[in-house]
Amino acid sequence: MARTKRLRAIATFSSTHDAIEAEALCQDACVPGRLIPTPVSIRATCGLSWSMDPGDRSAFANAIRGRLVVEDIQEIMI
Amino acid sequence: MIYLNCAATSYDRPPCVAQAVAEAMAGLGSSGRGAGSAELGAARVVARARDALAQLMGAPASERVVFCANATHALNMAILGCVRPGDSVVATDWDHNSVLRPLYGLQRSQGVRLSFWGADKRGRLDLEDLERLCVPGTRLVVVTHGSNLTGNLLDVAACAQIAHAAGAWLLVDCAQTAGAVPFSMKETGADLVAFTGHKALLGPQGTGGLIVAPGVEVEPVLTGGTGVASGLPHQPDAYPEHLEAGTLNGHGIAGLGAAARWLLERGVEAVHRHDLGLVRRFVGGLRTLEGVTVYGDVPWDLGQLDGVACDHGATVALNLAGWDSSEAADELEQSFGIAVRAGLHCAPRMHQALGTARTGAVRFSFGAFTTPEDVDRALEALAAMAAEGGADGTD
Repeated sequence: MARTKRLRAIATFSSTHDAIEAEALCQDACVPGRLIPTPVSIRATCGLSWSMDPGDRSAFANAIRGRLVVEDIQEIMI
Repeated sequence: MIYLNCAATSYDRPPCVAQAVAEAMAGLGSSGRGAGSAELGAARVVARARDALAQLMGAPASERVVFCANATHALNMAILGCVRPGDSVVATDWDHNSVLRPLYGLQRSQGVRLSFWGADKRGRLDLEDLERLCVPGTRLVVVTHGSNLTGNLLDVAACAQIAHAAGAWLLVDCAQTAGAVPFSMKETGADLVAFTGHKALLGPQGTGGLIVAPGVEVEPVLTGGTGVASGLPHQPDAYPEHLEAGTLNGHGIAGLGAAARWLLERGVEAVHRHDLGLVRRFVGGLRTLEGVTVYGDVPWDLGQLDGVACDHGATVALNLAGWDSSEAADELEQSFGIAVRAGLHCAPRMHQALGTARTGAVRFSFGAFTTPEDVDRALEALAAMAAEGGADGTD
C-alpha cells in the first residue's frame, strides 16, 4: 500500500546529541512530531531529523529557543 | 574479600549499573546509526548519560563530553590531538604513564620540548615552580587532579590561571577523582578534562571520556564513521562526533549513565566526606603502629580534614618495615582477605620523587562502598604484620 505523502517541516541538526535534545525539548513542550531518518533530498549533517507539521514550526522554535540551534528547517513532501 | 584497591577499579557498584547494562544489551541498537526504535533508544540513553556526566563534572555543555574507552584513551586523544611538532609541554611528577608515555613519544618523534613540574620528597608540588616552567608559547600543561599514589589533590583553578597566563591549555587527568571529589570544569577553568568510568564513577570498565572546552582545538586521532555528515572526507567539526569515530560502547555508557545519576542523587560531596572519614580513620590508626612509613603530604593533623572540601583523595600509600611491598600485598590478600595494590602504580616519576622507585609501596584505596569496619580490618592486619616483622624467606 502506497504511503500518502504529506507536507512536513523537517528540522536538521549538526549532531545526534542535538537531535535527541530537540526530541526531549519538544516532548517537554508538547510539540507534536518525531525523529525520522533525514530524507536524502535534504543536505544535512545528522542522520536524524525532527519531522513536524508546518503549523507547529513556531511552537518548535519556542521549545528550543536558547537551548539548541538547528542546522536548517525545510518543508518537503514526504 | 575486603576490596581496598578502588584506585584501580570499583569492585562494588550500585545495582542500577549492571541492570542498565543488561537492559541495554537486551533492547538497544546503535546510537546514531538509524532512526528505528532500537537506535533512537540507544541515542536517548547515550544523551542522558552525556547530560549526567556533564552535570557531574561541571562541563560547559553536554555535547562537549566525548565518550571513549577509558582515561588513557582520553588522555591520548587530548595530548596527541593538541600538541604540534616543536611545541612546549609541561607535565608533572604526579602523572600516570597514560600521560607520560604519549608525551615521551612526542618528544622522540615530533621534537616536542617536555619539562616536568617536579614534586618534593613528600610529593608536594609548588605552584611557583609551575609559573617558572610555563614560558610563553607553551602549548599544553598536563596535571593530575589527584595522585593515584598519595591521594594528594592539586589546586586545578590555580594551575589553569598559570597555564592561561602563558597562553597554554590545561589538561586535567581526573581518573582518580571523577565521582569522588567535587570538581567543576567551568569553575576551575580547565580546558580539557579526562575521566574514566570504572573507578569512582562506579561505571563499567571500557567507559571513559574527554571533555573539551569550546575554543580548544583537538585534532581527531581516530577517524571513521560517526553517523553524521557521512559525505565529508574528514571528521565533522561538531561535537561530540568530532572525536567519536566508530560505534560507541552504548551498553557500557548505559551503565555509566546509571552510575552518574546514582552519584548525582547521592552527591559527590557526600561521597567525598565518606572517603575523608575513612582516610581519617586509617591514618589515625597507622599512627599507633610501629614501622609504618606513609608517603605523600599525609594529613596527620586529622583536624585539617574537617570542614575542608577537597583536601585529600581516598588513597594512602605506605610501606611496612621488614616487608617487601609486593610480599605485604600478597600477605594481606592471602592471610587477611584484603585486596590492595603493590608496586609502582604506573607512576614512576612520583615514586622517584618519594624515594620508592626501587621498593614500590602498598596502596590502600577506598570507595563509596568501603566501610569503617573494612578500614579497621586493614589496620588489624597491618598491626599483626608489623608485629611479625616481615617474611623470613623460608616459604
